[in-house]
Amino acid sequence: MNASALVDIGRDFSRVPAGRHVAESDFSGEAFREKILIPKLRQGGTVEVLLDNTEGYGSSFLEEAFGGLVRVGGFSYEYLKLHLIIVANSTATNRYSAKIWEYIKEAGSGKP
Amino acid sequence: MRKNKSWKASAISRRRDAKRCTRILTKKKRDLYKAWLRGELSQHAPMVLQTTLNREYPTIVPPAHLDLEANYTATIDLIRSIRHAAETLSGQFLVDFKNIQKMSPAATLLLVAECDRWRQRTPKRRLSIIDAEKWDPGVRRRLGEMGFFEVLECKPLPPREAPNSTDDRFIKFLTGSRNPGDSAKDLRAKIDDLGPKIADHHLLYDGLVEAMTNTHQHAYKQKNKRRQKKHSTLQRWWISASVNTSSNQMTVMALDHGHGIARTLPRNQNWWHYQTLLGRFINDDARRLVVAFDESSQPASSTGLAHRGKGLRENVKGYVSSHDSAAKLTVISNKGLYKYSQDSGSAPVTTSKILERELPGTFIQWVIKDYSNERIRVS
Repeated sequence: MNASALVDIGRDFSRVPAGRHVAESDFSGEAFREKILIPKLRQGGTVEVLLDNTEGYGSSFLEEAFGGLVRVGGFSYEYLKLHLIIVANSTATNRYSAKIWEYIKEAGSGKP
Repeated sequence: MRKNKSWKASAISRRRDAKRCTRILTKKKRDLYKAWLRGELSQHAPMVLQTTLNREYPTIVPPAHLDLEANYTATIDLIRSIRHAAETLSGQFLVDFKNIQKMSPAATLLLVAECDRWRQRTPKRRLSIIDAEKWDPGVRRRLGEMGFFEVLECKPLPPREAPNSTDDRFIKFLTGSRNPGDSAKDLRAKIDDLGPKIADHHLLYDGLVEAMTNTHQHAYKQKNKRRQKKHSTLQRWWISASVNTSSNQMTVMALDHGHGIARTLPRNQNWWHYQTLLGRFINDDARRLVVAFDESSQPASSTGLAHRGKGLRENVKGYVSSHDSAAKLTVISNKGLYKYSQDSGSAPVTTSKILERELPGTFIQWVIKDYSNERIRVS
């Protein structure tokens, strides 16, 4: 397995991530997934995503970025469990971590 | 190529038809305007003729209290009247603000957004202010803080009174159609500047960006792409807030002038059948709102996709439901009103009802008490 890569969303993408598609926002979930997340995951190693250092995350952003990995990117839930690590160091951002895995699981099972 | 006789005849006929259409339209507008002056137009604020600057102008008379809770019908009638007049009277009318004695934060945002829309529709005509010194000082201050005079590009700015320590402080509205993250962050920073800092600003950010994203995704979606492009400058959201530091209460609001949540959610074919048969006698806007915000039902989205429609319940409602302190969410969309409130130690209360008048678009308001000392419920 290749070495792990760290993605700090606040530093590497935007402090104000919002929206589902690029039409809504330059810092949308779709943009994050296509520009950062998928290229890093395609390298084969583990990817650590740090959720701190942003203003917050709406459901649209998280669902499109992470649920979209399964729905659009073609990654399986099992593969992501092994290769994707969500890091949240504060109580405020910790709740996003659970949501992300919920969205990935839902996208994998095809259930809402 | 030479123009033949029949071409000329058809050109003359076309021109004659166009003139006839204009005449009919002008007559219709004139009749409408006369009916409005006579007070025969329902769902409109009263209009009188008022002489200002040696000229007689049709003048809309607003109610003394603009409030979406205490005086909803009259407030919406005023908003609709301004929009109607801006579209039919070519912007040549007055609104008599001297009559207004009291304005709630929600009504102020609605009024400012409507005037901003009016300005966008008639960019070559500047909106101007007359006799601002005769307005109620509190109303003038609130409108000034909300950015009303900047919408009107008013120079010099009318005098603004210093607020009392118990007064609500308003934050200048922000508007846009893309990149909601920046605006949500700016609004939060402005709220922090006015008093104590918001304890968990992430929740506010999440709710706000979802409300604004909803505008782009659903509110202004039109099947006719040309029409969508034509009105693209009007397809925006407006957000603002007010803070009362003495009671430690914050009110945050988001508004769009789109189709409305209730009207954009998917329905089954039977409903459209009943609607065609019964027309305006059936209205389920309030019930649609309840479904949109109810966690126990399937997520509802205008796209009909299973993975969509989470933002309203998880973030817009989630901002209120995550608190142990008193908080209230109010959503008005089309004719539907949805309220969700909770207080510390008591079960949350959900109410909904059909309103007498339709709000053109969607209005979302969060009222958070003890906002600087929020206790987040970890579920």
